Amino acid sequence: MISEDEVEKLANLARLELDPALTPIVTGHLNSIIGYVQRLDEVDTTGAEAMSHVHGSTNVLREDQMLEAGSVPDATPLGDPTVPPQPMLDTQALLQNAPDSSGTFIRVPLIVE
Amino acid sequence: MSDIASLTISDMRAGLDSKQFSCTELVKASLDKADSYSGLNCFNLISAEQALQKAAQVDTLLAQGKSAPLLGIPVGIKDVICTKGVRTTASSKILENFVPPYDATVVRKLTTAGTVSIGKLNMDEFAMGSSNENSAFGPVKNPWNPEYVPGGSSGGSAAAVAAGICPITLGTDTGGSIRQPASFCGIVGLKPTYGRVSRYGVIAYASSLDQVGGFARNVNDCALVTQAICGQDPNDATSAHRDVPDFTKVLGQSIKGLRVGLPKEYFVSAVDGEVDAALKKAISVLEGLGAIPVEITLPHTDAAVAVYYILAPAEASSNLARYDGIRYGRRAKGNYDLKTLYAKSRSEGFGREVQRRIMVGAYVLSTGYYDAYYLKAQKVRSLISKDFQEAFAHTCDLIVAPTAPNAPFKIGAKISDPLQMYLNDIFTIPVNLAGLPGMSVPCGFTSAGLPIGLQLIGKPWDEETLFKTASAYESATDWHTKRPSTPR
Repeated sequence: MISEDEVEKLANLARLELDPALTPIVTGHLNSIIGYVQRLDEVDTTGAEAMSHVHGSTNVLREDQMLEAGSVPDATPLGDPTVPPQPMLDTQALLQNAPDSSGTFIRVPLIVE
Repeated sequence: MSDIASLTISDMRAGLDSKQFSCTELVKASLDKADSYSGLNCFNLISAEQALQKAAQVDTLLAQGKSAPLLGIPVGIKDVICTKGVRTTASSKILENFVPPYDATVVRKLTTAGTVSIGKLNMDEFAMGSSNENSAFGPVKNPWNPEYVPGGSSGGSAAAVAAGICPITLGTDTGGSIRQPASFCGIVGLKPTYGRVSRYGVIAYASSLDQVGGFARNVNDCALVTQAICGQDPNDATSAHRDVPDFTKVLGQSIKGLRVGLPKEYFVSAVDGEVDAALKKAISVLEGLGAIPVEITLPHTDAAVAVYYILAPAEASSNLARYDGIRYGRRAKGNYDLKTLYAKSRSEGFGREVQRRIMVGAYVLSTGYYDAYYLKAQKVRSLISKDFQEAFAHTCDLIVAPTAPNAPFKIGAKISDPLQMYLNDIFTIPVNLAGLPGMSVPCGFTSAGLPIGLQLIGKPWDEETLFKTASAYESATDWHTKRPSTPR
């Protein structure tokens, strides 16, 4: 069983702010989900490998490229030369979605007192 | 002019190439239809201006005698897939003003193929849900009966196709989010093999399970949209270096002698009686076409939902850590220190189901619980995957099962009980865990007139057998010709 205290701790770890009025409901839901997934205890996994990825993941490496904004990297999808890579973005394009920015920087609250 | 928006792609192709109607007329018809069906709430955004601009460009190409399979075909894109210059929200308040500066690879591929996107489709927030009730922009309604859910998470993508707004749409499928809404809306939907399609530019939920796929009203159109989006992408390290076959080539081929596996764990009492009856009829149709039904066993089926609800939230809690209100997305207003700003921005921005899954993920990954939950689930995942490998190695060429244990349910019926909602994905989740291709095709209706779906599950990289079987089944039945009645 997960207690309401643990749920509050969990919310803090996940950087979420729980509405105290909803904590009992959230705790109830988490307990029903965690209670359900505990059925895996009954599955015999002796010798079973932990599977993190379907096809076995390996690193895909390439040479670094220095590219100016607007230039196009030389990477083309296999068997589909009709779809050229997209041009590199400039800083302004990337900053357009920032909630607060100044010049070429994202503005954030005071971090170090 | 008659309802050209609801034509099949081949009829649209013929009409456009023979100048019976222009791309502009076709796109206008599609936009009008979207408008008349606005009550279904399929779209988070309709990009009429961009669509009409693109249509004018296509008309110039058509006038020059150019043609291509998807040139001028109206499409819709699930709102979890980035579209350059067109708002992309994942149906979340945290991204309600996010305008991507780039296109997802699948969007780029569809655009290059000549399609015209008419807008962004509603969905469960961050693709977390099975009913489309978790959207920050309101639920999508089922075109067959607006009191019922369209399924989820790609509910808007499925409903738009079923309503005849456009012939094809894109969705994503992490635990059934293409196949289950396809089933609930009486249309065709395919989740390709994991790695078949690039995930670049697709807002991540659970990266080891997410895959993009297409919806259509018939198998041929589904093959065309799938064809257009497959292939390796240098921007997605998990996309596979594999040649993409011509999926339309297998359509119409015989399925004589094909061994169809029927997993005994999927034909159980938890399946609704009308769904079970429709499935049995579908199997006898396949048998009539020369396929050979064989009983198989997938012994770890019962553990799949539990495995999924450990692994997917774990991956989600990590993937969604990026939404912190700093670089993009919603930032809480007020003078807070950094940690409080994170918590305020995230709590204001994420809906309840998303917060719930983030917390479950944080729990199963936390010190002391990691081995008992996360590692255990990864081990059971490999057993589930092995079940399928065994079946395909010795007994069958593909697997047939219900897509969902039940027909569409009423809006509100399951929303207060997350676990009941999760169990709706019991037959679709194993396919994602094993990374297999899975398809849903319409196979009947309940007595209340709600659609039922037949699920086809293939070997890795063997979408061809799914298309071949679905095409044979479609030619022997008329479910794909049924349409929901009048616009609402």
